[in-house]
This record gives sequence, C-alpha cells and structure tokens, in this order.
Amino acid sequence: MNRPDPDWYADLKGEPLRVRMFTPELAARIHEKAVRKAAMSEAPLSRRALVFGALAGCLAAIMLLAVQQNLLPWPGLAVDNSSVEMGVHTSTAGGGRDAATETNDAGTANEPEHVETDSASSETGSPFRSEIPTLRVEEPTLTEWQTLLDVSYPELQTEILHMESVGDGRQIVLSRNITVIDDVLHGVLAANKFVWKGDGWQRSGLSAYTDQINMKDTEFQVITRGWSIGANEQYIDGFMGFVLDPAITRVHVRDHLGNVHEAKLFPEAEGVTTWFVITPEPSRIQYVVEGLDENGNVVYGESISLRSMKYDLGKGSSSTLVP
Amino acid sequence: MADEHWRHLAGLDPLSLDQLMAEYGQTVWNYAFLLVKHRAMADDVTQDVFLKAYRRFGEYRGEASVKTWLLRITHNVSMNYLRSAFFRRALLVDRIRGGGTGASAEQEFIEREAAGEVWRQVFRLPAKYREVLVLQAKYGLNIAEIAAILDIPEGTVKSRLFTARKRLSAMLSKEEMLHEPT
Repeated sequence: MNRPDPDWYADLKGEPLRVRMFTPELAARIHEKAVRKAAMSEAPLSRRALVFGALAGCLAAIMLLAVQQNLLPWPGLAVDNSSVEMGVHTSTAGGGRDAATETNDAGTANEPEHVETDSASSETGSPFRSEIPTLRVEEPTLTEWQTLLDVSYPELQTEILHMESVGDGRQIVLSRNITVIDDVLHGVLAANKFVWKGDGWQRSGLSAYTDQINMKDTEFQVITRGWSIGANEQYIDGFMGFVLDPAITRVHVRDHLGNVHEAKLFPEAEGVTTWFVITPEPSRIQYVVEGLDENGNVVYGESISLRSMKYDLGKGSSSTLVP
Repeated sequence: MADEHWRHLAGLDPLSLDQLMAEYGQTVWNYAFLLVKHRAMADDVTQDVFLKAYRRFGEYRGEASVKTWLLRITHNVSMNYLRSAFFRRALLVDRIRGGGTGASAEQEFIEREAAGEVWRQVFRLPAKYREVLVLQAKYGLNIAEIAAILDIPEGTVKSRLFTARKRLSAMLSKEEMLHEPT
C-alpha cells in the first residue's frame, strides 16, 4: 500500500480498550493448566488412563445433562429480530424449514431456530433502546447504505448484495457473509428493511440466518430460507438462499395460485450462488422452489409449506423435496 | 524482552511461560477480542493460545517475531472458535438476552470501554476488514506478514485493506449524519 495512512491511523496505535482484560487471575489459570497438562503427559499410563476415564465420565454426565436441557448446539440457526422504532414494537418474523425434513453437514436434523424478542420488555434498562441510527441522505450511495447497515446491526457483519424498493420510502436489502472451508459453507444471509422516516433512513426489520452446510453431503441443491418482515398485517415476504449445483442457472418460486416469481441470482467467488426473491402477497400458503438448467429444464424442486409463519411464530414451515 | 531471547529457547518452562504471558498476554487477548468480540471467548482463546505456545514452542523457528507467531496462533484459534456451532449458539443466546436488535452485553461493553471513537467504529467493521486494518495499523505488520498470519494471498490483503480504510473513513465521516433521533 503506497497510499499515505489516514489521520485516524494514529489512533489505532494505542490499545483498543480502556481496561486491561488480561488479568493476573487469567494468567494464573493458564499457568496452572499448562503445568497440570505437562504433568499429565508425564504421568504413568495407568494413572493417565484413570484421569482420562474420570474426565470421560464427567464429559458423559455433562453431555447427558446438556441433552436433557436441550443445550446441545446445532448448526443452521436462524436469527430473527424484532425491531424497535421509537418505542413501538414491530415484530419481524422469519420462516424456517421443518427439522424433520432438512439435513445438514452432520447428517442430523438441521433446525433453524426462530427467535422472537419483545423489544419493549427486553431492552428495559438498555442505553441503546431509542438510539436508532438515521442516515440523513435521501438517495444514499452504496457505501452509505453499507455504513447504515453496519451501524444498525453491528453484530451482523454482512455486506450488501442487492437492494430492492418495495414502495415509497421502503427498501429491502439483501446482505450476506459467506465462507467455504473444506467444502463446508459457512453463511449468514439477511433480509433487512429500511424505511424513510421523513428526515432520514432507519432500520425497520431484519430476518437473518446462519448456516453451516456440507456442500458435498447435502441432498438440497438449492438451500431455501424464508423471510418475512413487517408489522400490523403489512408484511413483506420472500425467500433467499444458496444454489449449490452449478448446473442450476435459474431459480424461481411458484405460489399456490400458479404465479411464478423469478429469483435474482448472485454468483459468489466462493463457487456458491446466492439467490433472492420477493413474493408479493397474498401467496403465503404453499410454494414450490424450482431450479432450472440453462435449457430451462427443471432439475430441482422443493415444496415448501409455510404454516402461517407470520401468525404462528416459532412453528416455522415444512419442506419436501419434489422428485 | 528481545525476540533474540525467545529465538534461542528450545522450549518453555513454567517460568518462561509466565514471562511470555507478562509480555504478550494483553496483546493476545486484545487481538482475540477484536476477532471474536466476546470477553469470555477471548479469555478462552487466550488460554488456548498460550497452552499451544507452551506445548509447541519448539515449533517456533524464529523466522518471524514471537509476537507475529502468537498472533498467527491467535487468529487460527479464534477462527476455530467462531466456526463452532456451539459458540454461534452462545453468541445468539447472549444477543437475545441483550435485547434483540438492541445491544448485547458485549456490544454495550465495547461501546462503553472502546478507547475512542475510531476504535468504536473499528469494532463495527466486518471481521475480515477489521482484522487486516488492526494488524497493519496497530501491530505494524507489513502486507507479507499479514498474509502469512491469515494464510491468504498478499493481493487479498491489499484489497481488504483498501476496503477497510474506505469503509472506516466513510463511517467516521458519517458520524454526524448518523445520529439518533430526539
């Protein structure tokens, strides 16, 4: 980099935090573990076996407790949020696929988790409750939109891939962050809604998923995630996901009335294609997601039944592969 | 302590480990936290880094500084933690407890304890941009060293640095525009 460093580079020479977090207690804990591990590796086999056996017993007990309390992790979490606008609770929901019909890289049920938070109660005491970033530019540039997304959802860490106007002063933004490591796709997909509030753009809703998908060991050539953002019967729905089969060059979604909604496809450098479609209301009962090859032949089909994901939050939806 | 000292050690004894932690403990913790943005996880990453260093110090060949070697281990351990479904869930739970679209406890910690507005905005950058920026600006590493730590091509480092600078500059200049409604 031959460019001169920006002025703010000097600020980064110092420590990021005002407090020292590497404490003497943490150092002592590490020291103790290091010494104990070293001692264990030098212990006679019989003693090591005893220690290992005891540890394995403890681990088994912990696993049992974890299973009983449903604490074990699973990949493929869905993160849905409610949005807060000046104290008004506007629920934001997202659909998921039935755990019994979806598989993941581990070959086990992949159960996207639906989370509904009541902002009005959960944010009590939070200094961030009414701090909604506002972008006071009527026609922002992509960089400005990205900045608004970054500060609106600091933990999301996604990049804008596509934007679509859904009416005056309403924008749906598709953002994502994907990495492929050893044929496992680690992806975050988010449908974000931003609204014009008269004097600036603000976040208005989010439906996001995190996924871990073994691309060589999944029966789904098209990964589908339903999203829905809105409140007071004014929802905007759609689907998004990934195309894993390079032979699939088009994806569309058919609703129960026979309407076909062509998805937009976004090829990624990682060899994965992201897809996105908005499905105008009132089609919210039964959908078929189809993948087509370059000749227009349907080479993949998946039937998705939304069990009123907006009105019955948390129960999600079901999905069946079409032969 | 000079790098020369560490280069000539064949392995670490408990006393050397204490010296290593005294010298680089905060560096490793800060870098881990910049990557994972979670205090408990940064503690665990730091612990794993020094346990690995203690066990495998013989693998340190002195080609890079011991700090760069530790940063590379920290990067790898942090990435493993972040990829783990368990920690995805732990972060999610934390986020829910913190209040949905509001700030999590970790986000509140960052907002409260970040050393100035520039660092506060750095924490808001996506991880891949945050990381290259910090390695260059704070740790003073060159492109080749950053590429070695992250195990990515130098061209990718340059591209990420360019984007990171551009985005952070935009975020800092938009500070006045992005303000909360009354």
